[in-house]
Amino acid sequence: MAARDSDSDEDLVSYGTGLEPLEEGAGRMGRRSLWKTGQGPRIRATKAQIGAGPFSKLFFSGWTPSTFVSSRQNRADKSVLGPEDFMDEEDLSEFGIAPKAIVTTDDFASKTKDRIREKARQLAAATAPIPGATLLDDLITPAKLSVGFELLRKMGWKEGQGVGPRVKRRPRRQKPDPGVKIYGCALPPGSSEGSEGEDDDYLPDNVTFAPKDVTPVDFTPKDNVHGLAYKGLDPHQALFGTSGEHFNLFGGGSEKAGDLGEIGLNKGRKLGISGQAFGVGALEEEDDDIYATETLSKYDTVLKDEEPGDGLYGWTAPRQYKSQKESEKDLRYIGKILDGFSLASKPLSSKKIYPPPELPRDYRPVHYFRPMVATTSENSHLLQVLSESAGKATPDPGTHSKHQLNASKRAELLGETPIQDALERCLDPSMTEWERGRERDEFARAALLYASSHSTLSSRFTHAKEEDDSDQVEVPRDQENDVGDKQSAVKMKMFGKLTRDTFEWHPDKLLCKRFNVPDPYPDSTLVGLPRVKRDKYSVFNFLTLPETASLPTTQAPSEKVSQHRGPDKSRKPSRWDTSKQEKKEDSISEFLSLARSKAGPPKQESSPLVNREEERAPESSTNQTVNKGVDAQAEGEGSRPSMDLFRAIFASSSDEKSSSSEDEQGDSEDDQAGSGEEANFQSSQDADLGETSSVAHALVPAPQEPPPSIPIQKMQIDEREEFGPRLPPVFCPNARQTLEVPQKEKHKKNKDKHKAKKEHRRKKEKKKKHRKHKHKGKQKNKKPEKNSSSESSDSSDSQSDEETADVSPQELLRRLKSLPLRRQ
Amino acid sequence: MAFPEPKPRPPELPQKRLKTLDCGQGAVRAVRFNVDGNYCLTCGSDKTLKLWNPLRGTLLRTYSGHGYEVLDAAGSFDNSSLCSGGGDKAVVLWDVASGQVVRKFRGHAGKVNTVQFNEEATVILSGSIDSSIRCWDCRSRRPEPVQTLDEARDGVSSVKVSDHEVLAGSVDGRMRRYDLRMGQLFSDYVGSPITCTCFSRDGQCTLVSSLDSTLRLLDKDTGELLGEYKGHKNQEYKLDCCLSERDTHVVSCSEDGKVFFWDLVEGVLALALPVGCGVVQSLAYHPTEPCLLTAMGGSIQCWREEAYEAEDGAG
Repeated sequence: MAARDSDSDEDLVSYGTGLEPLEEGAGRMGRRSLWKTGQGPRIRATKAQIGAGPFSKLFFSGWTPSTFVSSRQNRADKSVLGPEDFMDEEDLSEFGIAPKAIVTTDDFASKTKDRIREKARQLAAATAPIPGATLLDDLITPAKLSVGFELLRKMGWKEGQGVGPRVKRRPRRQKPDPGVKIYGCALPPGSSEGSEGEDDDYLPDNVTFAPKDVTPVDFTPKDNVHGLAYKGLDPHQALFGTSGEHFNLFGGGSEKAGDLGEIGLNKGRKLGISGQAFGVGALEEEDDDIYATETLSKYDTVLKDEEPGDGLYGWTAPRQYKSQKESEKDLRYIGKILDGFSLASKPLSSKKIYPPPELPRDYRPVHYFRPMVATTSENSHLLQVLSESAGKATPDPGTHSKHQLNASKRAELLGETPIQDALERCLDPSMTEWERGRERDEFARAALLYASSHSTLSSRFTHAKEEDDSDQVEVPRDQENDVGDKQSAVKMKMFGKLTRDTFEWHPDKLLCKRFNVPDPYPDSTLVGLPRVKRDKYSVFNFLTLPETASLPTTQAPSEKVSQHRGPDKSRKPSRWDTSKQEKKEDSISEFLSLARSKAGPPKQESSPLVNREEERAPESSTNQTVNKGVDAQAEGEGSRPSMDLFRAIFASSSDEKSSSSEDEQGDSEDDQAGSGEEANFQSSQDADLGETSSVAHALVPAPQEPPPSIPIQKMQIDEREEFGPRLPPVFCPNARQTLEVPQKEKHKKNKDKHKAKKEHRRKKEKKKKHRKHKHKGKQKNKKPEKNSSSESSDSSDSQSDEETADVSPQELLRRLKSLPLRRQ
Repeated sequence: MAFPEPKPRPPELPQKRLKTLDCGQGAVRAVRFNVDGNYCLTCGSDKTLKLWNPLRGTLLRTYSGHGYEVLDAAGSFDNSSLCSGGGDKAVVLWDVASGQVVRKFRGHAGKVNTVQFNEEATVILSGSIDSSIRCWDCRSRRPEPVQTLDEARDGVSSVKVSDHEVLAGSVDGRMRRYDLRMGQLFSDYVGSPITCTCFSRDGQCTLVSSLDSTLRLLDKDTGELLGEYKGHKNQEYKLDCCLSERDTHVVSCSEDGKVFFWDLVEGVLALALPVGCGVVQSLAYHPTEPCLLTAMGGSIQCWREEAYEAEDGAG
């Protein structure tokens, strides 16, 4: 940087300085920005110093940058200088290194380039007495196509395609070899470029492709006495050592039978100078295989007694003799191998024969039909037994999938009262009969109205993650459990095994690929945490036992920690009390949740701790469910709204159990916390024995806050914190110097600042409130005013998008007026 | 400082205010160095992202295209592209040179708190208030994320990426480390809502700051506590923390307008650098030199060590 900076002062061309190291500089970004600021001479000097390649003449031939335009105004449309900008005109001409003229490449050259015929011709050329005799044929080509070609082309066929109906190409999944570990950039040997490309491309479903072309079998008659596949020594290749590619016309040596379509493609892509005399040029797109040269030294020139291995003599195509393999084969095969033949490299795959199953001796081929049992309520048990014995799971009448149920059935399953009854319950008993009738009518109308607007509403909501009507529920196999246990571990600063959960986690295959790491689970199609089906209402689902394995290990980290910490610290005051208190509290919640889970679907909570937990869980889970709102739109159409919505409309808002699955999540967390407490108790005991006096961290002289008050404090903190850390205010109250903000922006935060400076905006919206906003919609306009004036606990979504429009013109004007005053 | 001195110097802390830049883009939500530390990005609350040369104090480019305030940004390893996320729930991939939006990834249900490129800039990872981390593929054109990491129970406040790991701090009080190579998820419970996490530069430790005004240094492999750093104030806001260029010090923003430096090993407070009277919202540490950027209010400050010669690199 120093070098570059210094030469902004001097415009001299200095020959003595070295190149600035590229890594040190700012990369692309930086250099370009320098160019923009018009420090042209420096660039030229650098080029001159490089002195390598054809660009060195740029400087000495008096080259100057085309035009210098100040880019101060239009930075955005600054063009990037490419190599062409430094080239002379003759370089761009037809025979220059970067021809600009448009020339038809071989792929598109002429219709008469019939590939099959071309191949035949090449074969003929190779076998002809004078190599290259078909040159004449090339010059005199009939400009006519066969009728079949014309017909096919009329039918939409194109050269290079196969014949047949268009097919849908499904992306080939590249199956990684579990044995091959790939680090770095190298691709596994099996995966070709094609599969890579297909993986990368995002293929829409409705695109079809023409079938692949089929290479016809070459039926050139053999009219000489050479051996099979014999190819005469090509004097050009052998003597001059040029690669076969350039003499494709004669030899066709580089071409394989499989990819006829690739002929000439390489040739067409070549740019500029190539060939081995020049090495690998910077402008060449791909390197020639510089080792694939054919020289005379590869050929045998002397007849020896015995050729090793294959028994081929004389002028044949060079082959590597695989001596040890051959000997191995010789061992396997006893007998004379005919001349010109060799043993197959791959053994014939023997056909596996599966014998038919052995029949039991007393088998009689008679089918027995099970008796059909009508589905009634009495014999459901019988049915179940029957179906179980039959080994197949006939759908239980209780667990229909949700699509087979209508709303009333579902309500019945859920134990909800019918709508009319719900209405009756919601009605005020003091109403007159007439009022009741009106209310009922209105209700019916609202229900209708709701049904019609349901589709729009359904886009805003999503189905619960867990289906309500199935007894099974998908839960992560391993859960982060026993928060209570961990909390006390954190308080004791016993990080490590106590606070850590380890899960099996499956990254997406593509993600692994992008990160350049091998897929840790190449055989699994799972993504994310493994999930298992569990009984939804099972008690065991909620009572997660603490891992007993972690118990013995608690000693180790605590000891380690105690070593790590200094010996001088006294015992942390009443740590024991803390855990006891925690225990007490948790035992209550444990009891509660036990009772709840026994009772079936969870009901409303009462304990403050439970409430806290509960509030957290729904918030997060709604977040998650909102994610999927878009997907859920399609399947949400046409189904009837749930009871909850009617309740939300007609009943008072005290009803909290809006979504049972979410509550349940909270519950499970509680229970885990509770049940983990026992382990915690023990472990803390262990820890206590292990290190009685060295809990407080020696490195941290700060005293611990007294634990007895923690539960309450913690609760309050959590109450405040459950929406996460906020963003700091734009300006601090008494910072006068930092006021040069564009005041025109219609942001709520500015409003906040002006109205109540001390009030800090929340970083996270209160999701619950947010939802309510959407439900009701009417309060939305009133809300912001309240927010900005009230204390921060009330200011919920001050930054949400909906409210940006709330800034009135007067407000804006006022802000604008206040602007110059503040500047002073 | 084109050529680093050969002999190792004792660690110096950036405590000399070199420059104060008024970014003119509302509150600066985040300030980030680019990969080699020669440039920096500031995320403004006026929906813009700006690219600066912090030493010279020159504005190089303004990137506008977000629909709401920009909350975080990151540069790719080759400086060719940027990514940013903001209150408009979108993650944007920018072309540095042209200033144009290359891709806009939508799918988050809430504000995007944090964005990161992976090592090869083929994937953008974004953490959002919607408690998910989404991995967006920059290579293909698919509109949906490659994978969504939705293990967090609350908003994701911080995401960091190493060559094979994703480190995420969440408001639910857990720091999760997704190890792609091992196919495992390590979840460390901290308790208090996490505001920022980062790897140490040697990749052995993780630093976690949480709303209980504490920074903790945890062993990456075992999750054990290696050090605890207190003294600053962080109870409400999402503030940044980091490690110094040679892992010698732990650096954190504070709500009392200072930047705190602790000795990493001893855990003692080395320096409380007064920046101003507001909240130090964000900071970024130079990858190789003792150079610190802080963001307070609508401006950023550039700090160097005491012995730093201004004309050396600042021009």
